Amino acid sequence: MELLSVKDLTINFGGVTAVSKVSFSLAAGEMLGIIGPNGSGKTTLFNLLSGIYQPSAGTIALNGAPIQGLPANKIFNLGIARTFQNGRLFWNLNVVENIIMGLEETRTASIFGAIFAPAKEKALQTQAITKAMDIMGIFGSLLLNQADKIAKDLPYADRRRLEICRAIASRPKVLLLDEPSAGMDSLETERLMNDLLKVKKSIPDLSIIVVEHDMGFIKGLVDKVMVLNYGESIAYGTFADIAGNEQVINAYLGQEDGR
Amino acid sequence: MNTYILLSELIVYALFLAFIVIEDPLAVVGYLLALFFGAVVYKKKFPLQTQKLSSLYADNIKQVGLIAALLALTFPFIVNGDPYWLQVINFAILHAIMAVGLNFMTGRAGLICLGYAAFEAVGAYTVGLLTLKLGVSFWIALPLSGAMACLFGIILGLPALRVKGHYLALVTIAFGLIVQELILNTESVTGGTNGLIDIPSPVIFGYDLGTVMNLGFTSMSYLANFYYLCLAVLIFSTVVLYKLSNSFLGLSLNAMREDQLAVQCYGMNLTSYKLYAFAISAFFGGLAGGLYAAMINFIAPENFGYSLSVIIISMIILGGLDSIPGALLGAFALSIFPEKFRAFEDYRVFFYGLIIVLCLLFMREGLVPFKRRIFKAFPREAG
Ligand SMILES: Nc1ncnc2c1ncn2[C@@H]1O[C@H](COP(=O)(O)OP(=O)(O)O)[C@@H](O)[C@H]1O
Ligand SMILES: [Mg+2]
Repeated sequence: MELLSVKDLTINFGGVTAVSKVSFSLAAGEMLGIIGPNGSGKTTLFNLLSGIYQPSAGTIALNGAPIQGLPANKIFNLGIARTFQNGRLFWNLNVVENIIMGLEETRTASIFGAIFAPAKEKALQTQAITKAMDIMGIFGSLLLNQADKIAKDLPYADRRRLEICRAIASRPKVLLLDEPSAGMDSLETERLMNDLLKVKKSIPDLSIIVVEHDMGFIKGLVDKVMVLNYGESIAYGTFADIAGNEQVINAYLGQEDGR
Repeated sequence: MNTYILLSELIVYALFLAFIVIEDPLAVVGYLLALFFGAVVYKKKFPLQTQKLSSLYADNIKQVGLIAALLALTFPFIVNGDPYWLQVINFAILHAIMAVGLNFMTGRAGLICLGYAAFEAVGAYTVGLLTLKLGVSFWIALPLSGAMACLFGIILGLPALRVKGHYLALVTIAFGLIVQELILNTESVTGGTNGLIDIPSPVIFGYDLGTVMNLGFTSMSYLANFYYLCLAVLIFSTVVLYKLSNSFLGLSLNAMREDQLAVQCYGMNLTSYKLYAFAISAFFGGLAGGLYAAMINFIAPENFGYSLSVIIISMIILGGLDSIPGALLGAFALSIFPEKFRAFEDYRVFFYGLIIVLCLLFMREGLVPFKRRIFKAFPREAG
């Protein structure tokens, strides 16, 4: 059975159909790239998948169970975690704390325990810090060396890394990455690609959907690609499948790369 | 015990007592300016020492608190049981309980509340009505005053869930006014404008806290009894709120303050967490109200007006939002200063407004900014 299957997903804003009848499915461990010009509905699709928007029509099923219409926090707890295109870290919290916000402990720790069972709370906190530091380890010492830094003081590329760490801290089944390379130069982008390969390797069961503006970035990374244009999926398949697609070339590849 | 902490706290205490002794308003201003510039110059000249001292305090916060609490025990003796100063400090302590309480929701969780006085009102009327009309013991009524305020916190929380920022400020102002009106209009129970008179003093093991404290070698105003009671509740409130602030809950509320959408995408149920913040904060406002009613023996709706809400919020802005030491300092400073300028009584609210404006313009972080994060990484070898 597919891990995630999306059928005819649609959302209208007034007269605008931002996402129109999009369907795809994702197996465990699979990586899907979504590309499309600016305004083609990529972020809106993520907002639908993560429960920020409720779809006007269509279904989303995780392990066969429908999840469309559930609030964002429930969807996260079911195993879909995301990052944001413009980066939405908790800017005044430090690096460890940002990752701890993704950990299960944060949502299950007892309030009364914090007052009446200080030893237990302390043990839980130590455990959370250990886990957070292990997760940072995916990026070598890059984040570990800045673990106590406030998020807003991080260099740009490390902010994006931190956002990925926070998202995988909950051990999600599906990870949604919204333009992780936005604002990076080519060197940083290449490094990020390697980082993502590392993430994939360290959690083989994790399915990833990555939205990208830049076709080159996903080429070596994903198993399948979906091309969005004006909210519609105009092509869906392996990279080789879509590369020759005329519609795609017209809509996207032929275009100047501008955001 | 660290001698530096003890010594520095003794110095601060001595400076504070000296401040209390000064009567002349001009001398007070001079004294404050001297202290302020002294502190600024010290910080400039000895940045390393300042840094060291502040991290010494931060690293040994329990010890700092313990020493401060022990020093506080001596206060009634030092002022020789003087009822005037005991009264002023007792009010300062009640304000401090409210300030640390409000700081939890406004500082830690970022939920502005301009109707906090309503929670004190709820607590005060709970103790007033229970002890006066139903003969319930104060010691049972006091926790109930917190619980009742908690309930009102949740009632306020429900309509406030959907709004943010300015709108939340408006909703909380309205809530404060509604509670006041409610008290005024349920005259048969609350006494309306006349308030509740002759609220009994607490009695513990046959000893009435409303009577002179007679220790054999000296005797002090009954206010000394209340001083110790209020101090105990302040210590309790500070410890509980400190623990909560440094728990996973505290972290989640901090994150919610940063980004309400992102925390939802990270599994937080915004509704529950906002209600936790409202209810916990309200609880301490209620306790302060319960103490107030028992100490003053007389409560009326006008004691819990909008201006009190503004006063409490200016205390936490002056001290530094999301800083428990800041809330305590702000509460004491803004409770005691006006006593020194009673000739200018009419300008009191003006003064609080000025403090808020000046802080927001020139000192966003307040007097004791919060720098300490909740979770810290374990030290690791670099590389
Ligand atoms: N909340 C909203 N209200 C109205 N229109 C929206 C909203 N969110 C997205 N849209 C519209 O949906 C379209 C797709 O936007 P978006 O998903 O951000 O594109 P992309 O991420 O592919 O650049 C745009 O035309 C945008 O204006
Ligand atoms: Mg986008």
